[in-house]
Amino acid sequence: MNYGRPELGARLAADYVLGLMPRRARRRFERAMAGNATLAARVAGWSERFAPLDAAVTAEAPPARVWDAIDRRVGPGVMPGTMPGVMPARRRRWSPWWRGVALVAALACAAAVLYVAPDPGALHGDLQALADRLGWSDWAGSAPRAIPDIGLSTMRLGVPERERPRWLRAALLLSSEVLPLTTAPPPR
Amino acid sequence: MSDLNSKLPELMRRTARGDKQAFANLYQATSGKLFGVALRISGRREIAEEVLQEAFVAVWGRAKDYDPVRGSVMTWLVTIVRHCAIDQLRHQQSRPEGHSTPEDILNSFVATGRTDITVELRALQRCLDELDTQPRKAVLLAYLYGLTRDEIAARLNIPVGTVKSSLWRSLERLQRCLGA
Repeated sequence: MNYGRPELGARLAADYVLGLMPRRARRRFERAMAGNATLAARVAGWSERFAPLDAAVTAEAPPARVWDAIDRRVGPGVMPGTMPGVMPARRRRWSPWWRGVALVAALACAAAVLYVAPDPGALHGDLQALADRLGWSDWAGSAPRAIPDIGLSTMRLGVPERERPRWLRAALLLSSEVLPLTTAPPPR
Repeated sequence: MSDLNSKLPELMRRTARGDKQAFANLYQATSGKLFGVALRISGRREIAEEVLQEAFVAVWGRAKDYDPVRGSVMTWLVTIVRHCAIDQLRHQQSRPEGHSTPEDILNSFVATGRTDITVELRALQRCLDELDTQPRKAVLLAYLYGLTRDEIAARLNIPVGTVKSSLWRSLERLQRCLGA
């Protein structure tokens, strides 16, 4: 699509801000906007014109569990006492794989393909079983004890193959159902 | 609010550098308003909570993309929340029951007792009032509730083609009226 055509660009910028674009078209448009200052300025213009409708919304404090979930997904907890009104989840040490999860989860939001693990503990068990079948003896140490409710099915979109830790690849296999999981022992 | 707005760019810069404390403060400062926006579109608290969670995880991952030249922090955050909420609704293929009408929402802004009506909102409302009834509703149904053109057509009982043409004409008029 030629985003450089002025009238088309103007219409698409308005569509984007009104929320009329389907998800894929929006992602394409956002990529185009990143390198097109005119498009970005049109979007900024419409966003600011409609912004008073959002500014007038009555603020309502979300329940603390929302922050707890965000905190769990994006990384280590905030120091206790630094979030007035919001009880932080327990403090964790920084571990690099969470960064990947944060990225993937962000993509999950953008892609809106949500996979909510019905039971994180059970999912971890499934991953362990899969690792056993594949003979991966070294994966468990680097894997999270509980897989958060991230968009597993979108992981392949955001993380290059070579950067995926094994637990993540296992999760992908599970989510794509390439390998139907059974509880049978691994073949010898 | 202006005090808050002056703090947000710095919080965003630090969030983009992976400063979790700044991210927490950003959440603390903006989540009330953003939850209100999510609630307006989702219509259900549990969905709005999910939307807010997804949106802030996205903010953490995409904070580096924020460019202050292209708009305020709050506008950027609202855009993410709105798109998350819209995606959720379309993914579920269900619309919440009991939405207020766009007219109700607009009227509530100027209802007696509200003291936080900004000059910008009054100007926007005045310009929206200059539009014909159906096109005004179409604009508001899209922006306030994230309805698609097809859904707007069904809601207003008019052809989709009419929605397409009237929406764009209305936006052009709105732009001229707001003088930008």
